[in-house]
Amino acid sequence: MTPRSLSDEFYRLLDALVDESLTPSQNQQLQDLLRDNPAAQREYHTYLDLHLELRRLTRLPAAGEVLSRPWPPQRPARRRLPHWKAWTSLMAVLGITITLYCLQPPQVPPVVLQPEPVIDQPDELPTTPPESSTAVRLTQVAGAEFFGERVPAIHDHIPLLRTYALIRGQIELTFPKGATAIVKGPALFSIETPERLNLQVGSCSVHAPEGAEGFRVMTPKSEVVDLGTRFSVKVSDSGQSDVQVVEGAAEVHLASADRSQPQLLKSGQAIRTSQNTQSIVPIPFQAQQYQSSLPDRVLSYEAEQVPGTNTVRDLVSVTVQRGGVEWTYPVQDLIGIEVLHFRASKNSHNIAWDGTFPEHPVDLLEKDVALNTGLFNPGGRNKPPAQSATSLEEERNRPGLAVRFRTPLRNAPGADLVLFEVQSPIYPAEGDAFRVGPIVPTAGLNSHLVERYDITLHSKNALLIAPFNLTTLSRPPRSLDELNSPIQASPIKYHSFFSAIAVGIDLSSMGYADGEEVSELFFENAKDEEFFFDPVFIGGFPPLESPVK
Amino acid sequence: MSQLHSDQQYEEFLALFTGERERLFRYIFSLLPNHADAEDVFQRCSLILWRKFSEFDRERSFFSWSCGIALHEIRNFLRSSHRQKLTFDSELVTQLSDQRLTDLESTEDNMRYLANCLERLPHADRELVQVAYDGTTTLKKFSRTSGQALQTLYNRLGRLRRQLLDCVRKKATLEGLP
Repeated sequence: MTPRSLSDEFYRLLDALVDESLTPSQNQQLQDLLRDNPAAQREYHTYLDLHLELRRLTRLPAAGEVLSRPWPPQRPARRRLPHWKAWTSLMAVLGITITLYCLQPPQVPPVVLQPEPVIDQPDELPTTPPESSTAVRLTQVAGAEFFGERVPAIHDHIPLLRTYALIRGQIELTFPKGATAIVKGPALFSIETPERLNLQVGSCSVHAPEGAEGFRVMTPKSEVVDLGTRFSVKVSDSGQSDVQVVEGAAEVHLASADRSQPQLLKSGQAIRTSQNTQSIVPIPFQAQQYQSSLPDRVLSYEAEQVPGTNTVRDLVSVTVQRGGVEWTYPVQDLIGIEVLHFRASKNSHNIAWDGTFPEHPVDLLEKDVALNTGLFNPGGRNKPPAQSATSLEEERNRPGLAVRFRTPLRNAPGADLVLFEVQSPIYPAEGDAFRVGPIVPTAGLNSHLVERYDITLHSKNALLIAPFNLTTLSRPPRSLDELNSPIQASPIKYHSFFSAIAVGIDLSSMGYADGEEVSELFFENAKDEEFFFDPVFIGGFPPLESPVK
Repeated sequence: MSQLHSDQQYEEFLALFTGERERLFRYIFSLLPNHADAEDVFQRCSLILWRKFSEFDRERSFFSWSCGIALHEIRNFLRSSHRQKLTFDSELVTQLSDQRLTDLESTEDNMRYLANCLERLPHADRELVQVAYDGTTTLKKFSRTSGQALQTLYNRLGRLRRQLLDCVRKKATLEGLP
């Protein structure tokens, strides 16, 4: 069935091409066969299509995979202004950068492709995935979002020589010899070699422990070579870069200068390399430019897989960074809740369940750890709650969800409780906004707005959940009694398009003092009445002095 | 950014880009048949397309417009590539681009039959395709663990590709029969 006029040699060359083992002489041979030969060109295209389709069919989604991943993310037909604003803001922030990066005149090669100075530059791109000992890995993520792709999962390797646009948030990269770099968005960066980060725009903080000396950070006009240290690099969109050495020492080379004349920087020193003057000048040292860790947040969670599917149901554990330290809490050690109040505003799709319809719908939040069941769409007010005190009864009549923790939470560094909700790709990937605060407005306390979850749909750590039923009530319930005695319409079955996303909430964000105990909280929808939040699990973290591990 | 885009423009861009992203990647990959290179250029193109979307003439095909921008980026890339001995020369890139655009605009996507053809392969053959393509290991490692010579595996993989291509073509022909 293959065209008879094409030789076996032609196919051998195509195989070498797609296997990325083509030699320069074979490349020339292939070009000679393709030139002025439409039949060969058609067959070449077909062969490449076959190759791409085989890759798509067999490959699990991975970091840097373009075809296996939908892009841009699917959005609802009606978009919310805040999300759009985020895009506009991104474009504004990266506008100059992108202009410089993408639209350089053809005669000026993009920085990333012709890095200066060139040291130990590999001759060819890698042709096979790196061995684990030479792989650069993504080791931490906080609120990160890449342009045009999902954030790789924690511990995924980051391919060499591929430019990433980190729109927002922060990531930590760990290099094979132990150096770590925290890159803060907006930033454009690539990994040049297993020991060299190319930072075109943005900022990064590097820690190169013993054994990782020699780690380098390239900028458009300079290169910083580590001599066993902690340092930060900040590159503006004009190419100007600031280097601050917090500990140890580093050498700074100008791209255009003789490499034997580096500038040695010691602890407490800072310099600026200018795009225009090609010079290095000292600047005041600012220790705060260096970032030693990512913000406290929920890092990941584990849930039990439903046999024979790629979905999960029951929460098993939550891993969270509190006070800069990572803790993993089995679900049975989290502090459970009692639902005190539930009132919807206009949405009557409120009871998400599976198996058999629950006798008491509040059990879906109080008594199970399933991530596909809960009380959806609590109401909320359009405006932030007033700070003036009102009566308890008045507050309890307001739309939202009030809960009491079975034992009081004690305010500690980082998140004190976690909330999971479900989300599908047609809804905001960063999660449905809500407010949380004291049940009764109290002087000195405030309601905290959550607009972005720690684990969002952009993260591969958001797991697909098992199908669930969503029961619609005859009208939006105004109380727990109405919720517990629903007049059922037929439930709608939702299949596996939903993932569980999570956010950690710090009691300090509501004004509670360190060590203060808190028993009750009020959650309400925020921002709009189009996308309501859908809580499936709320749990408190144990006091920090007695973590599980 | 010198010009703010409207919400409506964003929606329109998403719809058009989502619909064409696979074809656009196939176009780029055919002129730059190395995954890292093609993905790099694809990323740049996605940024440029969005940035220039206000200039897009709605009377034209979005795919053709995207390919025009992609071709420009590919040429930039090739000019500055340090792998020039492993890329195609400018004249051949032009020829391949013309041919590719004609094919992608006019021909059926026969690769929809590939999954079925793949399923029909014997287990050992399917396993080899899986190893070569799923990204979790390498043929080199598989060669070590299975005790088979690496070149033998590459040769077998090449034969399997041809076999799958024949299968796909056969199914497409049968489908076209009345």
